Amino acid sequence: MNTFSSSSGHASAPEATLWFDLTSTLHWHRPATGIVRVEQECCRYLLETEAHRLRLCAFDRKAQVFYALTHDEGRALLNRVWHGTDTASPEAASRAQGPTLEMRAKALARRLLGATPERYRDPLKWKMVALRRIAGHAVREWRGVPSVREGSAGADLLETQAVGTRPLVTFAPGDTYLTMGLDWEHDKLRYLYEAKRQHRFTVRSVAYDIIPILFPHLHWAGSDQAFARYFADLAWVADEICCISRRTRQDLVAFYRETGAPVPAMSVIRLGDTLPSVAGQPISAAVQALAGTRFVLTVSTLEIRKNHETLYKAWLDLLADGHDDLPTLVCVGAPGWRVDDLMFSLTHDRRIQGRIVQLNRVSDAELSLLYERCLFTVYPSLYEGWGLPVAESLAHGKFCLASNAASIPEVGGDLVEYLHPWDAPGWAARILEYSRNDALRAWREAAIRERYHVTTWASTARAVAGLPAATAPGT
Amino acid sequence: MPAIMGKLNSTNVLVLTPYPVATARHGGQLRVQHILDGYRASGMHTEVVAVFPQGAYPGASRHDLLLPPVLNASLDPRYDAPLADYLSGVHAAADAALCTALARRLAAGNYQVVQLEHPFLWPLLQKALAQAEGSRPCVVYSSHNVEYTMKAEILRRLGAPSALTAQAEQAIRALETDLVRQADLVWAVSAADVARLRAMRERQAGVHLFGNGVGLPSASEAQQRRWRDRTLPTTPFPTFISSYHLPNALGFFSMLSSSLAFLPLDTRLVVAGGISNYLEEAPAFNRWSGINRARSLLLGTIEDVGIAALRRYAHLFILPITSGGGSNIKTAEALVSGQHVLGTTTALRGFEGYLNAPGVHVEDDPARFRQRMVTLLREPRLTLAAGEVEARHKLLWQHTLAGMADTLRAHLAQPVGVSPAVQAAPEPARMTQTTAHAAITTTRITPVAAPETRVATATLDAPGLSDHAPPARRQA
Repeated sequence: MNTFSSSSGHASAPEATLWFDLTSTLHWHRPATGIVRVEQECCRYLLETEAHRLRLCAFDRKAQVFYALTHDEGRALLNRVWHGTDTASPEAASRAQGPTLEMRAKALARRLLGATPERYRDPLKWKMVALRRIAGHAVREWRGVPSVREGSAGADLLETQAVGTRPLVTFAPGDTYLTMGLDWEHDKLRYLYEAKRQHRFTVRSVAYDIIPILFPHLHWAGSDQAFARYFADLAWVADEICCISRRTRQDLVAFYRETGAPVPAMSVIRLGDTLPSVAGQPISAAVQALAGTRFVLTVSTLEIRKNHETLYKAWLDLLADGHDDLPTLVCVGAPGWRVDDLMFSLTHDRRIQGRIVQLNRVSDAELSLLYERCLFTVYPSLYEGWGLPVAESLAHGKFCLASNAASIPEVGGDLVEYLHPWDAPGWAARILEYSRNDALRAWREAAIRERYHVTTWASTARAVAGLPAATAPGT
Repeated sequence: MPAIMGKLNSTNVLVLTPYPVATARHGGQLRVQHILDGYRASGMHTEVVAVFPQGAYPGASRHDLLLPPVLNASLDPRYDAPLADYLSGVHAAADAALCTALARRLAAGNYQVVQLEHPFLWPLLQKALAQAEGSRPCVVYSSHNVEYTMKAEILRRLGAPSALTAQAEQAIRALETDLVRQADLVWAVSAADVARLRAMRERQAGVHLFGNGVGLPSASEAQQRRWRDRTLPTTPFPTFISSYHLPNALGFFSMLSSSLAFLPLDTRLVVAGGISNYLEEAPAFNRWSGINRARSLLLGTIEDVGIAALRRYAHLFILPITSGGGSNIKTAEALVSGQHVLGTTTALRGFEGYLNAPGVHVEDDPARFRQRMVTLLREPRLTLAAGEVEARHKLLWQHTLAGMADTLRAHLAQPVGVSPAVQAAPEPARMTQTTAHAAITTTRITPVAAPETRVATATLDAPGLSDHAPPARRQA
């Protein structure tokens, strides 16, 4: 087995090695959203600007080792283009249909986990995660539909290649290791803790939120404990935790104080809000058709915390009041957890057929088009660590009507109008106003153009890596 | 025939306990067991009668006097559990059949000594002595704590109404004071207890200090190593060995808090003994179960080889004790282990001579206690000089209880009538009536019905509230 250490081949390098952990990207099988987007965009930037000292790695949970990836392998992973082979069309979404096989399997898994004694819950969850990956591959094979269409040369092979054949990573004193993915699923902190004690390298991490700990009822059973353990462990490993909002830092500090974990250095970073432009991405017929209509956009996973319920009620109220000129509500995002009843209603409620549309597996190009063509966006979330869709909306010059909860006001300041997330009549009134009052929207958009500063992923990447802010334009 | 002759010639001692001692687990049982060993080694003949609720402990013998599983005595069902041993005593004293059985046993046994472990069976013993024919035996009160203050402290920490706490404290204090004054001899476990018991007794004589100790492990090193390899963490670990006793649980959470996140992620606190079962279910522990279960190993009650392995391989013994009386056997165990010891002032009560010993650390502030735990785990294993090992071995039972049998024998050798306590004591039967009645009326036990019409219940959410008596049970 080869060993890949930071000093190999770079003995004379003046700068210490910067390790970038791409584990989440490696195992991600759909268009990047949220956390995976952060990982990918930061990596993309650092590959361009810090290539001379950047090394890529991924963690193998079973073997408990880090193995190295070449820059080319990393680029192949980042350039995988996930096509909307199953992007739901408005027609398909409005067709009466029950929960998908995936949704039923997830619901069953959650019930099973909930009924499992706590001490066995983590091991069972990991078994299920592994099973899900195998099942995913099997289903794709069975359907004969490749998930990856472009830019995947070597990426699939990389994922399935035995760890034993790949060079292992040994961190060296002075190195910096960056991790910003779905780290609580990787079980790597114990390894890092021991490696750090031996080699004294620096660990920089990103904290997105501690919502499962604060509001366990909004997640699957046991997630609060899994996250609590992850963040408690992270406190012992990270030299600096970059929080994506002041609210997240405040929540995390409070958690550490309550649990007695050491409080590491914490900074607040701002996430990039630009969507990557990948040349040649086709736009599906469903999205093309929608782009020519009057619609309001909401972007987020369909999970209970995102509170699509308020939008559903607002649309129902407005339709009941006879506002037939109401624009369509387009919900972009994958079905998540704890929304089975809402999904059933959205599918079977005849009053909103054709008025509320769900789109899944939307590519970045399609999402950009939807942001550009929508009247405005809505975001009624109950709690956020940041609120990326609000930032993306503003970056596209589009006004957003948003919840006043948690970190969301940090994103848009006074460029956004805020409502209490449960005030469905209030949402209905403002949605009606903004959908009819072109001058009001234009005034809002002008203010956004004038005062909103787009955050590039370059600046986010530099902040996460602990690099000084770049002064050159575009970085 | 030789056995009978031996009994006739030797000093016959009846030990009355609120729990069986054949399979000793908790500290009180261990102490009694070693006292019995000491008496037997000195040639005395000993018998044990345990009085406890049926099913509360394993290992009842045919000589034991069993109470019904649900006691016919209650102060406040919400807070009966920590008072279960006291309430057992009240119930027993009110049970005429039980008194008669004990009286017959006293009459038939030709005992020169009746030793009472803990004060709670004193009303029963008084009644039985009054009924029994023959000469009154020497009464030894083997104290484990100053009970009334400990019970009051527990009730206060559980948030019991102050009137109830005062009521219980007053009743137990009256019972305990009466016994301390009436007993011919009193054994105490710490110098502090000696002082308090002498004050209660209102005279110096007759109160003797025999501290708590610890036994040497019987398991071989190879057995211990096998057990370690199978069970224990590979990184340096702290351990807490403790019984199922409320003060221990209160101390655990007071000093360590409800989260073990202060421990590095590769460190596991190894918890052994009945306290493990308590933690397993405790809401405070499960508030952060994800963190706590990853940083702890709850072993439950373990066999002797396990205890021996912990003594040998633990890096640090912690004693997060913040309440309770007497002195802690677990402290003696920690000190004899020769490993680092981190405790509170309360935990080291009775072991003040070791406060400045190498590797012994005292922290009463919870935050500093936790911090010290982490720093001690980073230090090398403790290595004691031969002299220090010898000093620690003075805590073995054979040393701490040395002289107890001789003191008793010397007392018995005194001419009859010398003991001022016996001379001054009122007639036992009258005392029995008075004391039992006082306990019942002042504590307003409701209702005192016939045993077969039990109506009193005891409920408390926190399990395991005393190592001296099992938690009072809910009525089926």
